[in-house]
Parts: sequence; C-alpha cells; structure tokens
Amino acid sequence: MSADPLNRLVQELAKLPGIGERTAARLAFHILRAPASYAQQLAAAITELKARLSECEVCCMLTEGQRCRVCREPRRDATLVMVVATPQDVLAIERTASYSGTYHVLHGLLSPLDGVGPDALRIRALLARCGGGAEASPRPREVILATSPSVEGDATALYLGRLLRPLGVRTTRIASGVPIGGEIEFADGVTLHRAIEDRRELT
Amino acid sequence: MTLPTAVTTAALVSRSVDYGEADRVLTLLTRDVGKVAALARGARRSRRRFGAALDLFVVGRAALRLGRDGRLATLERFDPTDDYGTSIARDVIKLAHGSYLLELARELWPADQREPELFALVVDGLATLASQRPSAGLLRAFELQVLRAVGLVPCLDRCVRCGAAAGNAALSFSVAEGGVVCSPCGPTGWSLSGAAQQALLALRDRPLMDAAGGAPAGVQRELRDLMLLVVQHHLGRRPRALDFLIELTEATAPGLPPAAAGATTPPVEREA
Repeated sequence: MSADPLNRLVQELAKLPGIGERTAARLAFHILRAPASYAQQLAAAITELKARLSECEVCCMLTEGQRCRVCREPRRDATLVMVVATPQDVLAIERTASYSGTYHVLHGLLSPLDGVGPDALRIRALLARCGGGAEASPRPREVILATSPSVEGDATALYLGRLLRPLGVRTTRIASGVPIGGEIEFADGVTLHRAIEDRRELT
Repeated sequence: MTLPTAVTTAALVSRSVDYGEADRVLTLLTRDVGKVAALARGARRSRRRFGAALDLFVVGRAALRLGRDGRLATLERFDPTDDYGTSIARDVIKLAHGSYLLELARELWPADQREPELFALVVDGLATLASQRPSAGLLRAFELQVLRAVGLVPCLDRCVRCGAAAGNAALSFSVAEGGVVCSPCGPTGWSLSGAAQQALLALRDRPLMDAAGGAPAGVQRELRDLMLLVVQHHLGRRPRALDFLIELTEATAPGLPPAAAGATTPPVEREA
C-alpha cells in the first residue's frame, strides 16, 4: 500500500474510463474536502456494487438475484430477444417503453484493435439460449440484433447472424439511417448511403 | 515539425476512446500533419456534430485546431470522402485484417512526423481490403511496405553482414540485424527458403491491389511466421488485432463454429 493516500486515490481514479490524471486529482480533492461520511458512503457503495451484483442467468444483464427484473416479469415475451452491447443499452431501450421482449447483453463488441474477440463476449450463452440448450428460458422465435450502427457494431451483428442462422432462429437487425426530425440536406454521406441501402417498401 | 494552429487535411480514425459524457479522443492518421490525438466534442451524442463519419476505416477531410506543448488537438469538422468501413464491417475477417493494417500503421508511425507516403499506403490498403477478399498476400505486402515507408524494411537481396548478393539458395534471416544472412556468414536465427525470399522481394514492390495469392500454402506460412517476428521486434509486442484474427480463424471453441468467422473465405487466404 502506498504511503501517500491522496496519490493512491488519484492513481485508482485515473484507471476509470475517460478519467485522466488531472480529473482524477480534482475528484480526489473533492472527496478529501467532503465530510468523512460521504467518503464512507462512496466506499460502501462501490464495495456493495461488487458484492451484490452479478449477471442474470438468462440474459447476462446485471442483477442482484439469479434473474434480472425483465427476465422475472411474466408479461414479457421471452421468445423475443434483443441483443445489445451493454447494460446501459438495456436501460436506454427500457426508457422508450416500446419493447416488450427480453434482452441478451454481450458486454462489449468485437474489437480487434482493443483485443476483444468472441470469447470475451457472452456469445456462448446466447447460442445456448437460442439452440434450446438453456433450461432457464424458452427457445426464442426471433433475435433482434441491436448493436450500434458502427463498424464494430455491424461486424458483431453480422458475426452473430452467421452463428444464429443455422439454429433456425429468425434474426433481424435494428434499422438505421436518417434520424427522426433530421434533415436529409444536413445528413452526412455515410448515413445517407446506409439509409438508401436499407430502404424498405411502403406497406 | 512547425505547424500552423488550424489545419484541414485528409485523415482517418485509427483509434477512438470514449471521454467524459459525450466526447471522444481520437488518434487520427493524417496526410499533412502526421499522427494526431484529437478531442471530438459531442461525438457520441445521437445528433452528433460529426454524423457517422468518425468511425474506423472512414477517410475524410479533418479540420483540426492543433494543440501546443503536447496538448490534445480539437477536431472541428470531419467530412467523409471514402467510406471503407461499410464494406469491411460486412465480414468479421475483413474487420480483423483492416484492424491489423490500422494497428500496424498507427504503432509504427514515427512521432511528430508528416508521412504522406505512409498515409497513402494505409488508404490504399483499406481500399484494397474493401474491394477484395482478405488475403495473406495483402497483409505481407502491407507489412513490408509500411516498414519500408518508415525506414525499417528488412534487407532481402543482400547479406546484412558481408553485403554479398543473396542468391536463390537457402539463407537465414536475422531479425535483430534486419535482413538475410548468406550461407558463408550464417547460419543464424531463422531459416529462410529461397522461395520465401523471392516471395518477400516480390511483395515488397507489388501494388497492394495485386498482392493476393501467388505463393503456395507452405511458403505463405513461412512468410507469416517470419513477418510476425519482424513486426513484433519493431513494435515491442504482439499486435492485438493479429491475436483476434488467429482466434477467429484457428480457435474451434465449442459453440463457436469457425464458419461464422467468414464462410466465403478459403482457409489458406484466411491465414494471418
């Protein structure tokens, strides 16, 4: 353990994503100036987070028990599975209140530049779920691939699509293109190209 | 290198790290101002200033406000001109190959140096990859040509010890000395067949668009193993994207059939 507690805290905070040394030092001084009870509550919250949260046995979302709130909810359609990259994506989709199926959280995207390969994601659990190998949930009738429309998100979706097709599960991809409320005149070329490529017939 | 404060240059994103609430820190490879770390404010918002342009494998015109004394530059605008990402993202093997090309160029790019030849080579590599099946030939040619662009290409036609012209006979290769060693001076390090030496010479000078195929599978493996040693020697570590590629093409983990990695690509061409 370091002899300098302030420096030690700065070093630990600087390991957080998006936090550099200067921001870490600012946060550390804020904690130092705050009442001792705040520091204790913060430390307890972090300890509790690690002690109590684990991954849902069905969808790999973070949860306190064996199953997450969505997987426990009987009114949700357990045969409709939306695959997302992170738990934050689940929260964003839940905020829309427009989706009644369940989820599967990959905990990342395929990223060769960051050394994230298929084994680092929760792909095995998804395949077990879709192949009927998971006792905890029914076999899905449709899997919606809802990874971001970026190079890594698209590649992950296509990779999963190739794995899921032989299992006989209907596999779909969320739409992408010009945003609602956006103007075509101001859309960038890549987005417009994608919107034209993924056009659909009016019904 | 003395630079103006504001500059507009051809550029592509080689790394993107989320920063703060909605920003990104990018490592840009540029034609006119070298490798630049730049802050793209608001790049993660849904109605973001940069549209879909700030993705890997997209080449565009970047308007930069350069930082002083090692501070981050600020990316003011990025207008895409060539999108290779859409094609590369359609095949995870292409993604692995493209990532390897970017990683190699980014890591070997000399600090604070303008490298227009290297920038053109990266764009050429991505364009080739977007239009063709991924191939071992493209990777080897790219490795050799990137090393040549930064002054690290191995000496392949003369013995690095005595300077004698290297014939078509069995040779050895010294990674530390940076090239082939003739029989009288050797043997040392890595045994190199005449066929592999000829293939390396050809790939060093061949346009990337014509680099696919050519050498038999045994020679391809020899080239791959040798070039991996050379690349690791100069990087000081194993390339991350290469491990990803090997995991996809060689690992047959239960539940992850290798066919998922790229069903249309023949096994030999899929080798790293």
